[in-house]
Amino acid sequence: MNHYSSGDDGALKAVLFADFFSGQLRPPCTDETFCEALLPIANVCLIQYQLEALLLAQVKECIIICRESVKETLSKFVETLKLDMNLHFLASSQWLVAGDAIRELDSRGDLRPQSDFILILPGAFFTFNLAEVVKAHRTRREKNKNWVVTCCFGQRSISCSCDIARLEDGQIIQYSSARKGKLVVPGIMNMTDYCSRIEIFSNLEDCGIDICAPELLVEFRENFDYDNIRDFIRGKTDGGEGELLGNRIYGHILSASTDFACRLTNMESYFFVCFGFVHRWSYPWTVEQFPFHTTNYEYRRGPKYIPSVCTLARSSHIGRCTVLGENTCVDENAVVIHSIIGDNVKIGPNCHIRDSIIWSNSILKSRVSVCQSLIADGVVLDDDCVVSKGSIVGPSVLVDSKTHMPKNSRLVRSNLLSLSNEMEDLNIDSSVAVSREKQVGSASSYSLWQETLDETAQQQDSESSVDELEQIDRKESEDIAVVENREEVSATPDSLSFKSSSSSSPPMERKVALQEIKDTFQRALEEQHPPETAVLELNALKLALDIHSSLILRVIFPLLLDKLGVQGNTSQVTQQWITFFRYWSGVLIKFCPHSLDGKWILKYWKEYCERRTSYQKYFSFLVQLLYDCDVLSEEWIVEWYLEQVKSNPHSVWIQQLGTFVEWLQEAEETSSESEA
Amino acid sequence: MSNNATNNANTTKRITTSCAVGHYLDFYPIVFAGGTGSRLHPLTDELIKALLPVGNKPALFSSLYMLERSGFTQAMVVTVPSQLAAISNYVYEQYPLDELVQKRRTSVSPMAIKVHAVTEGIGTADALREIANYIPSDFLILSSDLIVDWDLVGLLEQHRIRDASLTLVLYEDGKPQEKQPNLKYSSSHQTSALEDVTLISPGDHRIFMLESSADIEDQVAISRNILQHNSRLVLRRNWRDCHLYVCSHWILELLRRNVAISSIKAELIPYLVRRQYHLSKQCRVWQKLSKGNEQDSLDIPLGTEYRLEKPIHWIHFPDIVRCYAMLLPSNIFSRRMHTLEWYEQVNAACLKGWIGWCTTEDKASLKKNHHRLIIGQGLSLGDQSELKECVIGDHCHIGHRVKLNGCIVMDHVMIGDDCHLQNCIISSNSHIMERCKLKQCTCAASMTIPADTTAKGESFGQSHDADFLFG
Repeated sequence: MNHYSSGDDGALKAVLFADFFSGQLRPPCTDETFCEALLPIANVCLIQYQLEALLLAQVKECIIICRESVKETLSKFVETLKLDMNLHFLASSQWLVAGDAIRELDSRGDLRPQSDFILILPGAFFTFNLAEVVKAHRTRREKNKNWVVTCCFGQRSISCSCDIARLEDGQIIQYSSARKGKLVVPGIMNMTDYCSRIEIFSNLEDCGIDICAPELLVEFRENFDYDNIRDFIRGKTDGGEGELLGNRIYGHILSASTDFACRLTNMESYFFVCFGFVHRWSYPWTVEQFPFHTTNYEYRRGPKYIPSVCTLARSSHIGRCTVLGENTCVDENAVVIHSIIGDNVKIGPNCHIRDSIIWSNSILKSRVSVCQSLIADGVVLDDDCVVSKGSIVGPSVLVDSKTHMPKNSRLVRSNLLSLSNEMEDLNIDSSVAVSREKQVGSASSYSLWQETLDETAQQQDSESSVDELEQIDRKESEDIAVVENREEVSATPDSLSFKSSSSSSPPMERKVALQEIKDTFQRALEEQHPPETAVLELNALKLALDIHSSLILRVIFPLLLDKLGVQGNTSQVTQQWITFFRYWSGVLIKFCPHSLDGKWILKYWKEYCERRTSYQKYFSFLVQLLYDCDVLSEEWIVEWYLEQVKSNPHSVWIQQLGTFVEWLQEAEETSSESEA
Repeated sequence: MSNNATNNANTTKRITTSCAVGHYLDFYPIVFAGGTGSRLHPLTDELIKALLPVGNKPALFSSLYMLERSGFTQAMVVTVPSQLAAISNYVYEQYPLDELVQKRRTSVSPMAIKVHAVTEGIGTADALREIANYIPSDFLILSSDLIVDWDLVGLLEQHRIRDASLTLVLYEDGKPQEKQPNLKYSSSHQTSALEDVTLISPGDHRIFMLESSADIEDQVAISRNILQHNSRLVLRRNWRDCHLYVCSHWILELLRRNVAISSIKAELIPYLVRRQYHLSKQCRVWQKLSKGNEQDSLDIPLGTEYRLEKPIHWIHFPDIVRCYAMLLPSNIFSRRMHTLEWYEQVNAACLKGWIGWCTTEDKASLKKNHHRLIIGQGLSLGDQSELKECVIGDHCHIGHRVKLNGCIVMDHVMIGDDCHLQNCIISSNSHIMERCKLKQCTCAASMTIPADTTAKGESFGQSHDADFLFG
């Protein structure tokens, strides 16, 4: 653990996540061999910027982490750059989350960094010089070894919004990436001196640049439930004062005026970065000065960047904020405003392109109109096509003439669509919950990729995912929920827990696992183990069997319900239930961390009541009880309630729960204000 | 200056009628002087807290003189019936005779002061509710135990410019007292109970939390609303509340509606500060409702509109209720003298000349063994006495070879020969007999300390119960 050397030998290492492990930018990144690190920003790939920025920070060695499938493409591409840097690839098709990659790195003696290193999270785009930050980090480390991580935060949130609370010496004591909810600042009296202050920053951009000590790898090795990088910070800040006094995290707030940094996680941030670059916000790096540009750009007022080799018709109009690629051909009367055009793009006569990004080698025939959209490589848009706002046309799609694409549509090649469906099965792709094939025009070479706004999508919107990898996890849990729910309808409650089989693990194994969990908890119930012990046992099982906590919940909750009796009069029953759940609530809380789980509880309990009429009158009582025991949060109940109201406004359950939800909503309003 | 300035004492009785007309400063100051001063035991056994001497002038002088100097033409002193006689006596008889006041009043018409008694034993907010009908406009609340020498015009100006609902004044407390062993009242428990935890946006000093640390369970939850509108906030513990508030008139209406609020400091101010966004939301709802209903014209938003000239930048503030803090400049001394420790600090500040109206004796008039003194009239001083950093009241008698160091001695005190007193507070009419050696002692009024007493850190009061100190 104490291999810390001051690092003055200059062997500064960087670890770069080249792959997003998720599908926020998919399409256009649907191709197996195309990864998000290759996204062009003003016609230069993201990874080139990242590597160049690392070179600037005097990084001599860089480890690139990616999926096995994109390794080849990436390594070929990187070789062409001829960088003065040792590049290593660490690839695997086994990883599900970033934490796995980190753990693998830790186990690789040849690659494992021995001194402080720079960690670049997926999609980080930055143009400022990290050398200063690294230097500051090292000075801090020399004074006190506990400063293990320095995180950089931009002052304006773009895609990864987060709030932090920071002590005067820069230590982060609270980090929250949820856009909703309040920020709880802990340890006011004990952590701070009387005269010091706590600074609270909200709406910061977590730009995904960390300077880490090797101790971080140890932390990941020891806590193998850390899924993504930010889990580390969360683990520290939620761990109470004991943790906060140990290894410390420094929050570096970037200057708002000179440091340009952002994370590309979705289309919005991709467009933001592209046009930010065009607008020269990332000065000193600009389109015409960036060293990797093979194209010779001429910077004109506007700003416009016109390459030396391109064909512009006399009557064409190139508007403000435009970058044209090499060999671009703009025909008569075509208008290009506020757009980025890649290399070898042919823009036919009378085309109109506005606020869009077009990658290389596409052909736009005559009278095509493109507005606020992304056109990927090798696309052909035939005469009179209209691409409306917010559309994405995937690579190599041929669009017939006179096609009118509706707003926010996604076009991909059909074979890619099926490919991506496979990927989904393999739990690689997660964001696209349902992809519906639909023919546009007559040619069958492409399909409409449509993301239905189902629960998953909404969730992704509402949660600011600091690390996209998290979602895979959630998806998995949802998979289980779906599978189980399907069976619950048909099965009796006693047997249902064992029938569920999921695609992700062999049915036999899972069955055994569930049986084991059931036995363990049954024993705990019968022998009246203290809840803490039960939690420990279940946790051990969870880790040993490598299953998700929501799965455990789905086993133990039915067992708990079975223990409830309805004999005797109402007050006896309620009293009995209260004591029972007060006792076991700790276990439920532990395994019910996510809103989906909470909703599952509600749903399961509803169906349970539907089957057993004697339980009916206690429906709302148990919900309240679970709320009082902090198992269910008010948001979950309210959300679930509203969903139910939508689907069936006159059900008995809705009526029963109505008053309670009303009360909740009122209380929520007042409490959210009063605890300011 | 206002055209209806009141010149004679009679008009003070008719103050409510006269202030309906416009005034130079359209803020009505209210001085709360009804405190019992339980934490100043045993000094307050017989003396009234607001009249305890600070640099040989009653504490109330500080508030009144500050108001008068800031250009207020009227003020109200709120007290309780049991203290009414003493307070009125001071306000009507003695205050106008003070040298400084007389000096000022030669050029400017005097400030009309009204003394008003409210029901004994009620909270400050209750008292405010009782006198609400006498308050014609936006108002200023200050506590008589605040000792500060500051021109309030700046504060009022800021309040007006920001069109605030509430502006409160904070001062930055320096490093905590180094744990001097001879500092008697600074038990850590007591100081922490007095701490305020503040949450302020550093740019415009808008305040979002002002709560006593005793009410906070070591963690603070900051709601989404606040985070959304303020990208940067600072949480501090060493900014103390001065108990000097400038309030909009509609706050009285709020008080009338929320009968449960009974204390200004403990309930009203935290409520306003904490619920700014919520109240704004509520106001908008009321505004909508009252548009349809002319009857309900007493609501908050209409309250803010009573001022004729609406600020031009009104639109820049999306929310109606806004609380701001003003930080006292660091060169201005401010303390509330509500504990013995701070009472001493205030007097020490007087001796150091940190408070403008307090003048120490000229060096020339002092004898060889005397340093930094504030001495009242008619002091009879024995031979070979040494006085250092003392405040000594009127008509005191100090015997021979007496050594006083850092003491506060009130009026008519007799100190016998050969006494050595260090950091003591001796209340009026007390008699300290010969050869006493007292350190860090507090002596209530009209006590007699027998000869040859040696004591350290004790308080001599009527009852001999030691627990009353913090009772």
